[in-house]
Amino acid sequence: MRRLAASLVLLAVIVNAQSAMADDGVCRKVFDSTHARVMAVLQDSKDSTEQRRAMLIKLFDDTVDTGWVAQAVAGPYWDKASDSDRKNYVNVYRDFISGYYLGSVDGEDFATTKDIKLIEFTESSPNNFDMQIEIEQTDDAPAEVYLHLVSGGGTCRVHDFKVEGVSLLVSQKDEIQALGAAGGLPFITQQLAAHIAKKKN
Amino acid sequence: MRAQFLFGLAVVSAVAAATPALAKNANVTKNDKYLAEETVNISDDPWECFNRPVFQFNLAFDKGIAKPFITMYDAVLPLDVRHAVGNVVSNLGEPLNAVHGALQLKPKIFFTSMWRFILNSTFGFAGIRDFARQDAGLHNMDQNLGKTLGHWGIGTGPYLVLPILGPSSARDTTGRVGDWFLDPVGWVMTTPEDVAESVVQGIDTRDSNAGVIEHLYYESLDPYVATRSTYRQHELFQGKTQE
Repeated sequence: MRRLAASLVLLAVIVNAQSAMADDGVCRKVFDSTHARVMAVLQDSKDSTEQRRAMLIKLFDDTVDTGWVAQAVAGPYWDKASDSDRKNYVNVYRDFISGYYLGSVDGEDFATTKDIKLIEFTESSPNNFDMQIEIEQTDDAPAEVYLHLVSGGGTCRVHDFKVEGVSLLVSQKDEIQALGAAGGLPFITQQLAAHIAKKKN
Repeated sequence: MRAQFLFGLAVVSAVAAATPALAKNANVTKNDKYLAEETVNISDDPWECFNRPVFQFNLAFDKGIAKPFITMYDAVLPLDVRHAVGNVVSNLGEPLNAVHGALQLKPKIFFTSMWRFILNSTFGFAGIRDFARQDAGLHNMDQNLGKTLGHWGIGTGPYLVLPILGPSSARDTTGRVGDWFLDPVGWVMTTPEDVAESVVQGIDTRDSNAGVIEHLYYESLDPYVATRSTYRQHELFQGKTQE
């Protein structure tokens, strides 16, 4: 659990597989260079912490299918909502989710991350891939991160990641649906927007 | 603190691309096999009426006392010194890890913990340096009575929030009490030494987990739900991956 924030940062990494691992080609093409990009940010000593954090947030947004995640975690409250409520919710959720996972990454997290290694990359079902990576840290045991990726329409996006058993989908679903019980998707959107505004101030 | 304009730009372009797709595909997650399998319900909380007030107390304690103290601790002590404190505390826990390795009939845990204690106490200058990890590749295999009970099939029981100590379960709380008796280091310490060690351990734990606590307590939509969810998921994970 230690260094959860730093570990979650690295969900966007997919190392180019060396040996014969199952892969449909799209995921590998799209994310071939991501390992180098993430390591460059982590080892960058000329930019400020804020700049490096912003680069990671951009990588997060490019790689995680936040629209899909937003819908998945809203569950029954998505089904009951209107199209305009859904659009508003997804807009706000995107802003919320990357700040939530990457907003508190600091200089110490950058300094203590040594390397990222691909452990396993398998196709669990058509167009669905599971990846296990290990994040080496200078001051702690390696952290295991599991990613679930889905390819389609010429792209490959992350649908879930787990750090030491803690899943983005499960955690977010618990929080979002606890809010949904109080007032559906519009209330969830309102609370997310209020939370973002509070963090900015 | 955050470069919002860069993220905002990314959000705008991402939303512009994705919104028409979402409007058309209203149920893109409905038959998703991964979603059905992975989103296990872990929000069962029969003692919530007790847990929530205790959690509110813990949040107030952390905000008013623990967090300011740790901020000062971080400002006064360099990172290397804080790591050294953590190493000493961790080293004092190795005999207990070895006891649990024996109780679980896992020789790897027993011998790794014993070797770590011996190496760190000698070459690591009474545990100040984690010689065993840095030079011998032996990682800490943190164990406790809760994990030992879990190994032998005892379920976690209901989620329980302890005053100051935070999230736990019925099984792990029982384990904490049992560990007080099982800990070999506790047998040779006087009571004041034992209390001092517990206080230093508490400070080190709060410092080591500052990022996680900040994330759960101060950046979540519902800190209580976020903490419960994270704790329960990690507990399940530890149960599945114990060596």
